[in-house]
Amino acid sequence: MNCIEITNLSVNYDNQLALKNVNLTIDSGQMIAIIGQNGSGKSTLIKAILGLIPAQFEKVLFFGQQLAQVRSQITYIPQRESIDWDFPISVYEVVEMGRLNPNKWWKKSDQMDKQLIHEALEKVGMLSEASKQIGELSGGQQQRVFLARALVQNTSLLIMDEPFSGVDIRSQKVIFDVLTDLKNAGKTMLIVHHDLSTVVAHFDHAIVLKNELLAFGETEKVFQSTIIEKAFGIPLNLSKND
Amino acid sequence: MIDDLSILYLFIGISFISITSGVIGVFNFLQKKALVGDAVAHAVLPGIIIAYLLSGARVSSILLLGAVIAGFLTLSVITLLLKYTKLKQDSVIALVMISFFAFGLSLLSYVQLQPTLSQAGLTDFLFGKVTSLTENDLNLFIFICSLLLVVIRLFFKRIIAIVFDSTFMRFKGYSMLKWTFFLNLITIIIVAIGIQAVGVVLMSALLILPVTTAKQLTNKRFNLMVWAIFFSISSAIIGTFISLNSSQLPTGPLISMVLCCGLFITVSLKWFISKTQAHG
Repeated sequence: MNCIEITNLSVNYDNQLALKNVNLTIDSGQMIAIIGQNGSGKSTLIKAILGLIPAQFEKVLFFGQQLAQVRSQITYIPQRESIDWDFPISVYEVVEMGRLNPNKWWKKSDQMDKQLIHEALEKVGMLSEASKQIGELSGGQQQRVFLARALVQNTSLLIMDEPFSGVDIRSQKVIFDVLTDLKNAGKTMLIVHHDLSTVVAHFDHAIVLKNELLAFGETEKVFQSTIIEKAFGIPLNLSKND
Repeated sequence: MIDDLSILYLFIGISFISITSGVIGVFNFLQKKALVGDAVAHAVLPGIIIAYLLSGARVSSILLLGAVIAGFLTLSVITLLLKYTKLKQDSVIALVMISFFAFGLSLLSYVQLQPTLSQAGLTDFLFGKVTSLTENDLNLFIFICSLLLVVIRLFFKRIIAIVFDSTFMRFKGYSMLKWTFFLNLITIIIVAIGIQAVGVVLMSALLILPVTTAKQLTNKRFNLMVWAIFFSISSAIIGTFISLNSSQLPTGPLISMVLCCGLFITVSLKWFISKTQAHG
């Protein structure tokens, strides 16, 4: 089944074309990296399909339906730059946000919510830090908490904006382990990623952007020198790329 | 002459106002919107006076309504100017605050010049005068403050989540339009009530200073709330007490001065402790 279907999507920022005419059909169960230079429209693409910024399109469907109908089946991890990390909120409370439901404004956390929060924190190795303030954690730990917040929603599609930015080696491993588990459980993941050197090893598919869709397909096929050179303006050399 | 029982009731009323403004001040602080409360407080003055001129009587509930309408008008104008001009936020806030307040002052001067209207004591709204509050006023304020506190308690987790990560909450389906409206509404209401005790000029002191002082002591949200409420309530009571014992002095400046002293002492203590720790 098609997980995401995008037809003729374009986005303008201040009269500048940020994304031109993107057409994509993504199958369920894939783990997809969105790559490209800074300003190539990676974050713009996911914000546009999630309705977080204005965009023009013919069609954006998730599981064959409009976003509003399947919102509860999708989760999203925003870019860490958009967060005020000094904000006085505890790790547990951040994860609890994932269980809030706009249609049940009166609802308090029940036993099942607590159980899910506990499990998610354990999975990302942050259970012992649950009562700490989010600002006391390292960048990698903060991203793990955001991943836990995504996990408690138990959705079939996860969309993440740079979950590996500012992340240390240990956190990177924890996050990749969790993502691999999710992939094995049949979840679909769309991830904006900046580190080309880890794309081939961890992602089965890749989307290459340069304000338009340059390529989409299996990672090995996409990683041809011509495509990468066109996207980044440099020859393909994975060992030096960051 | 005010008797002991009314004085006790007055203190209860003041406590409710200061607790509520302490809590709402924390939200404004977390939203980095400390000055918005100041703009609203100054800008509600014309609303109060127009409400008085239209109704022809000094009835708290009507003046309150005038203040709330003016408050919404202020925030709408600020939002529109930010959207359609290239002016920066601080310039827009200053511009709107000054123009509304200047208009309010002109209206106030006009009212003061009319022998039939000047008796209402509308100048109390500039600097605040708790002794002019009646028992009915206090009943109304205590009721509204209790309502605000209950609603805030009910939505507390969601308010915090939305202020912390609005992008995520928007994606989850929470309408930012509704929640921004709600957060603005509670600020406007507490300002409209608070100005009757503290006055429009210094109302922002009651919103900004308690949380600023509390932030010197703690980074945890719960403690931040508790300390903010503590500073707010204690300075309101001390300020009111001094005001009652010196009938000429308005309440607003007294409460503000106590709050400033609290902030000064806390900052100095923090500085002193960090110095001694560095040397010890």
